[in-house]
Amino acid sequence: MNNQTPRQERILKIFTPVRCMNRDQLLRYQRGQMTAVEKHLIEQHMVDCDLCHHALLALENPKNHEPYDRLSQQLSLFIQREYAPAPKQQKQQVRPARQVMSRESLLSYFWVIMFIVIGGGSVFLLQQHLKNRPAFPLLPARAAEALVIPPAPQPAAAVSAAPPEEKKTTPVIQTHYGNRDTVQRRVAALSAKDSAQLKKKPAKDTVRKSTPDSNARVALKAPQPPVAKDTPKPKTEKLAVNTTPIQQEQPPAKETEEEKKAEEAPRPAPPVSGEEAMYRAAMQLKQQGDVNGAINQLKKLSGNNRYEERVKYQLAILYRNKGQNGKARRLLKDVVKMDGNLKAQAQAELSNMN
Amino acid sequence: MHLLLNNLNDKELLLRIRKLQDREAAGVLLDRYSHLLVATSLPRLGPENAAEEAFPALVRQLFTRLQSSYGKVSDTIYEMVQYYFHKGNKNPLPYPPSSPTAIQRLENRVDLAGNNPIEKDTIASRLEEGLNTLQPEERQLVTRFYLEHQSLQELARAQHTTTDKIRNHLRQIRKKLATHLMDQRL
Repeated sequence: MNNQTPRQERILKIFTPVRCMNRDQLLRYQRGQMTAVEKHLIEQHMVDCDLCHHALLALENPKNHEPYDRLSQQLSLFIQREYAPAPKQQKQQVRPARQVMSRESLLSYFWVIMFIVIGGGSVFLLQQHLKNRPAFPLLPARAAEALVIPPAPQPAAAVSAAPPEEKKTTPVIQTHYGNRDTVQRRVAALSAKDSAQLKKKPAKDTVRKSTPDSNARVALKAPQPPVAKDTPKPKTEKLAVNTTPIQQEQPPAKETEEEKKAEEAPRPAPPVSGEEAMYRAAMQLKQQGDVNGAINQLKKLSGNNRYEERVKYQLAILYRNKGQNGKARRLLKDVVKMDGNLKAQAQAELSNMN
Repeated sequence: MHLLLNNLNDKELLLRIRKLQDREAAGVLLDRYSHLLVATSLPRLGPENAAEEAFPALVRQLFTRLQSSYGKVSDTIYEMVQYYFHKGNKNPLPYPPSSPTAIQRLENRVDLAGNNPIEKDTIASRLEEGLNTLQPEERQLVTRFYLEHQSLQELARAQHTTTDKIRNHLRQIRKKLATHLMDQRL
């Protein structure tokens, strides 16, 4: 017996839990094939376990041995079959869940990609729109930045024959196309002297007048090679005479020289600006015979340094035409004092007036 | 998985059944006690209670019962067998006690003491004090059975009684001792 252990160890066995008998232990206890220690351990357990005690009592009857073996095996198989995991069913249950998860993840990826594409596209379109939006809202700012004074004032009639750099300024130039009739009317209203001068060069005018609008537009649209500075000006450049006073009595040769000088001056690409448009509108009014309107338009530009010389010159011409020779003379003197491109013309006008 | 579950004790399997609704753990636990269930039920089987109907029904009821069971599995199975064969299905099965009994608490404490000598000494000294409160006959029977390791048959032969009576007597003494120690707040 296990009596060698101290009393404290043995007294704890009163309440030491012992497991129920397994199949082997049950049969061995029934057959008396246990050691004394093991048998006493089973008896300790049987004191408290009704199940094991009644199982042993039932197996004391030899009739129950055979049904016990058969039924215990059958019940064990039944339990294993009934409570065994069903791998096929579990796989079938798991697969749809995985498919649903994959679909949801694919959908989420798709919408994320679509959001990125739409967002990027909208940003790109906005940038393109800001780059290529029309220049009208920016006109005042650009006029202040890139306003370049052309070397000589050119009338509307001469604009159609202007070099291609000027023709690029389509918004302003197109306004002159409709003025061809006014130019013709103005030419018809010229004095006899002017008409005589014009008769000396009928071919030049006819060439210019026969030019249809469509041709001019095509010429405006089509890129033209830049005109060399020293190359002789075409016949249409003679129309630049109109920039000078209308009733000019100067010989044409002198005018052409002055104009050549003016033409020889470097012409930067004139950007379309509000001030330039105002100046051209004033010239247009002048050609239409609206002297007061042209004066008012030019007075608006009088504060601009770049246009001051031309404005004063044109104002002097207009005042002279109007009969206010005093104002005209004073303005022409101012132009001479400025010592600009129009100094020679102003002196000539002054000498004519005197 | 089945082999791993076989290595778990009854408490761990019951925990898996309760918390995880693990049918496989329930199968392992029921298979562990199936031979005792058959042996206990054998004297009660007959033409009215055929084995082909009684055991599957018992197993299903046991599975339902184990999902809310906290006590010993052997006690639960014995109660279920008693209920099924004696009272039938007319009256509902009483609920198991929600709190462990005094014997179960003491057994748990001894089990948890393990190799802790201080705890073991404390419990042993309390048990000595509890044994001193027993009657001399009871203390002698406990001493012979648990300390001197005499078998039930030897004790029955010495007292000229049956082993069942010795067992019932020991059981009563054990219960009395556990209740006394619980009252002493062991």
